[in-house]
Amino acid sequence: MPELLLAAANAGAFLACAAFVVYAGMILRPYLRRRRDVPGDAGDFSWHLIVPCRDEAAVIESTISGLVSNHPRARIWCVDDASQDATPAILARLAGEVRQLRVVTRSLPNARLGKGPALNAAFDAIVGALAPGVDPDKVVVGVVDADGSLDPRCLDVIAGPTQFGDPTVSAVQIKVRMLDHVAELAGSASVRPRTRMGRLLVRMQDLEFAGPIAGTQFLRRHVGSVGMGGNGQFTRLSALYRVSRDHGKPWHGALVEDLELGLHVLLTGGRTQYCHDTWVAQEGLPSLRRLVRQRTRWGQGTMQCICYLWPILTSPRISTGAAIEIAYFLLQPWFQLVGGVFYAACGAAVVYGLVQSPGGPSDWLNPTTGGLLVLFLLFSMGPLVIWGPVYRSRVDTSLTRREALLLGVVNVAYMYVNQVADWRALVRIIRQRRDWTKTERNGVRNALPSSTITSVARAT
Amino acid sequence: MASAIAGPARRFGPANGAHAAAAIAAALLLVLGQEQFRRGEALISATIVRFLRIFPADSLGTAIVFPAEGRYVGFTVSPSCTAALLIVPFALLTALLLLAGRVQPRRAGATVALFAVVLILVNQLRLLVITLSVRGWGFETGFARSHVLLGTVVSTVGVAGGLLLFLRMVVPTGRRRA
Repeated sequence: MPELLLAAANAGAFLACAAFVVYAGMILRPYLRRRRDVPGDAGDFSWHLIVPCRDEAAVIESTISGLVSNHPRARIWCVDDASQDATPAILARLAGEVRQLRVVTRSLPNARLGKGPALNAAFDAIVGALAPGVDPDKVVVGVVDADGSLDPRCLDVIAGPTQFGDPTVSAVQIKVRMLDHVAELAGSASVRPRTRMGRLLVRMQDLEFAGPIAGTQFLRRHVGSVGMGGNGQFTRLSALYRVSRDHGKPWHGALVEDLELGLHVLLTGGRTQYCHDTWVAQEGLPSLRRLVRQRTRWGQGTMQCICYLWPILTSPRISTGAAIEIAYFLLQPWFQLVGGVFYAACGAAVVYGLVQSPGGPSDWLNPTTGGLLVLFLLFSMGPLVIWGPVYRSRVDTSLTRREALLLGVVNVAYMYVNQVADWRALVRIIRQRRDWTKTERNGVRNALPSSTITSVARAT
Repeated sequence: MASAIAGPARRFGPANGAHAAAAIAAALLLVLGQEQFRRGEALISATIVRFLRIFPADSLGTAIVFPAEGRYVGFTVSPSCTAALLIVPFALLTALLLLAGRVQPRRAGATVALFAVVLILVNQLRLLVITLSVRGWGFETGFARSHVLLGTVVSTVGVAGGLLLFLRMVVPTGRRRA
């Protein structure tokens, strides 16, 4: 029996490895073969951008300044979620100066309950402000984080014929970049992290979002399961109405309310789309502690969403390919927990063999153990390392080949952040902790003077 | 939260239930009868090796034995080496897809059968590579070089191909969205 259990574990680990290789290939192929989407005319739609604000004094003024000057067509809805810093004062001043800006104020005890409830408050305010007879298919609601910077061409790009120009598309997620690595923003108020480690971490986040996460979205675009992110998500008002009608409100209580919205859009018969030709840039996290904390939230939120697994598998509105892809994604943190133990045990066995080998490492290294190392390099590291050179060829051509390869190697270690985060998430679930402290901003951007905003607002 | 996410479900006929039960039973049989399965794999492998005139091989229980370097040598198809346990998760996955009304019973049967054949062939190819390595490099070196490295490369590439085939068969191409 123990032999059979060991064999079952071996088969499971092998299949997990094969599935990983297949998935890695399936996200890389469409990423490398992608074609540009044709832009449209933002004037075909009415745009509402929600900016949730909770203690965002360090960044909110420059964010609004960027949105106002770059997107004069859009109405901006800032939700002050009972901020305890200077955010309310800044917003109150800007509301008097900027015609496009509306402030939704939430007060305790009905505030600081998470991003979902804040977005729902903005949704209610938008619906309340709409003129009678407005076609909800022609109204698009976007979410931009308080540290976000939206590509000036964004609204035209996502109005294109493959995005909101296609009436079957209900929601669009755009590419996410890190502020420091968006060429169009070079010379802006963004300040690079001071330490090498901080710069490397931010670089890895940029690689992750512009690389494998984008690749995953391309695969999802193909099967019909594009996921929504917290920043740069756009949804037709009609789709939000459908989600509200069937599920009570647009955004729900999971710690990844963005993922949850995407699932609800699909469950209510909507179609989600991804756009790689425009971007929203956000602050990268230059500290490992904050990164692990952010990923713990993602891990716990994804684990919470496991309750959607069966409804998605049985939904007639979601294609089989999409259902399988979503199931794979929702099960990933759980697989990582099991796999983490298994692969850690394998690693420990290798180290034990190395230490115990009478003749030292050279004696330990035989065709069998050498074979194991080659397999590890080929199938475990290879699919992660390749994103370094791919990032160089498709995103940042200023990198040298050596730098790109090094980034790829660092990507292997970077992925282990998720392992740590998933364990922390499991502990939080066991302890029934659903609360969350928002990731603090770097707070290093210099707010632009309000006169800049005033002049832009008057020009519109 | 579960009540909030209930929605219309896919059609689920009695044939789906029966086929799902059959798939689960097949998975159980593969686990319980894995020794007989391994005996069969050893027999097929010895036959292939003999047919290709690599060695005058024969099977002995779950082992493949053949004369080499003036003695009889061989290797066992262990529980970790068999294709049986690799088929089990896919039989269960197919049962799940049947219960979810995602795949038609006939297509599900064909998918599992084809996937099983692919995995058995891939495993046979792996065993063949080991035998060829033993012939080329001698028993000790050939087995050591091929058992882990070459054999696993063959298995990984083969199983990855099988996985793609499995997905291709359970995901109807006409329903994909551009």
